[in-house]
Amino acid sequence: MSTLNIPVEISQPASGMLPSVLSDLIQHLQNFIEKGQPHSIDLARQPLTSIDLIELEKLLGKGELSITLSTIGDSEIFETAFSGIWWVKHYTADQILISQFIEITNIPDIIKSQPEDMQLALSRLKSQRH
Amino acid sequence: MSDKNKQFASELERHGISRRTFLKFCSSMASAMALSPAAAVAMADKLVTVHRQSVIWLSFQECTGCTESLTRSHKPSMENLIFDFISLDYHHTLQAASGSAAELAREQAMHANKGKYILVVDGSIPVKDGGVYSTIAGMTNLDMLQQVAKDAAAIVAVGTCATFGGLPKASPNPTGAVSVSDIIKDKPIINIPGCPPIPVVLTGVLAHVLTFGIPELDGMGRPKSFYGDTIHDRCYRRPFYDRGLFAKSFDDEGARKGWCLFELGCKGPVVHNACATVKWNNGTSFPIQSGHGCLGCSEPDFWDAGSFYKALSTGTDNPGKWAGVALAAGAAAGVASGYLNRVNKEEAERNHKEVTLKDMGGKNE
Repeated sequence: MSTLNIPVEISQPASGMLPSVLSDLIQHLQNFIEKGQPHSIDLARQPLTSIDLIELEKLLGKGELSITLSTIGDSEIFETAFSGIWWVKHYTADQILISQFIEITNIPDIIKSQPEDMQLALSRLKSQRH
Repeated sequence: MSDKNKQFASELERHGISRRTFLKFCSSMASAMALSPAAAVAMADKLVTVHRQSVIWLSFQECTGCTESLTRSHKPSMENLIFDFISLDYHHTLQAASGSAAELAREQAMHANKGKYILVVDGSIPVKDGGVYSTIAGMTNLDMLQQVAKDAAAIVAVGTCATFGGLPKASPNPTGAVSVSDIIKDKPIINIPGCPPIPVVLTGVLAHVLTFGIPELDGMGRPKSFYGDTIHDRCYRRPFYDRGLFAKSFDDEGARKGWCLFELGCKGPVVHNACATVKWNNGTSFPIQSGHGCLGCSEPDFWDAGSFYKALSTGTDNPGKWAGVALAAGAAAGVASGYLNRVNKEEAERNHKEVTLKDMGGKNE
């Protein structure tokens, strides 16, 4: 039996910090719109309880776009119902959430095709031609 | 594509992993280490091109808890990647060889990588009565430490015993236990205290040494990225402390509502460690989340610092140890409370770190 199956409910109440997080998001979204300056918030580094995180995710909701990145476990990347505010969740191969970020940008970097990978793809494609 | 990028791409191909995989790995690693995403990318670039680093691990007066912690690391994919980048040439508990073959492996690694290997030490070193209280292959811990440290590039002291003397040093310290830094004075020493330390802190520091060199350390030789904040600074119960809401007994209504455990003896305000953010056991929880105050196991002489269950400000059996620090922490708390202040502080730290890492990366080119 893994520790995850022990029937104990971990209760963490709301800390009352959500309004401050929202002010932070407003400031950074405004900044991105005006100056094109993207921002990343590492949720593990914020003094938020598990209930806070659930409430925050509920509040931001899901937008039009959702992407799964499959590498060393899945990563769930979706735009929230607020355009320009993305939620990035990285899981291990054992489906353990190892890190999550809120990114204020028009597209998170990790979604883009990477130059190094494209270079490899190019040589692989060329070798298929013969 | 530059030569450097070509080399990077071929290294990634050799390891069978894409750039995206590495970005994911590094952002998680950077999250645990409180680095900026830019630093994570820089780390990705470095990590794939580094030479496999020889590591010699010496275990002295210890309980093997530090090794147990490492092997129960909750980010296995990250650790697997790390272990592709080091060569663990000597470690009592994990190596297959034993007896003289094991000692031979140590000597060979020391000879082949003279001046370049990393020495990891867990456990304190007994120096009373000529060091007879702990020996390996007939050699005292003191002699072995001095011999292996001589040609090491850097030393990583793991656990509270190696960093500060730990439990063996607790009064009356029958074996004359001391820390690594009490003996070795001429090598860079990185202290990773904790009883045991958090696994990802150890692997994270090793990754940092491999990529950017020695991380930025505080006055006690601890990496600032993990030990820069107190448990209290990062605790989810902290907002209740700021509002003056305290649990009065274990598991009372306040404790269940998340109120602060300060009055039950929590040492969080004076303890520097990453438990409140990195957490333990698959990132499930940490002592304070389970309803028990922090014991301060990563601080010097925590065992002799008075009762675990007396509040910092109301004095302990040995009030001198905690009280002064608690007062200072309390004063700082008054200034720095509130979410936005903390966020701004973090921004400042991150911006500062980014510059430092770039500088360090430059030197390694």
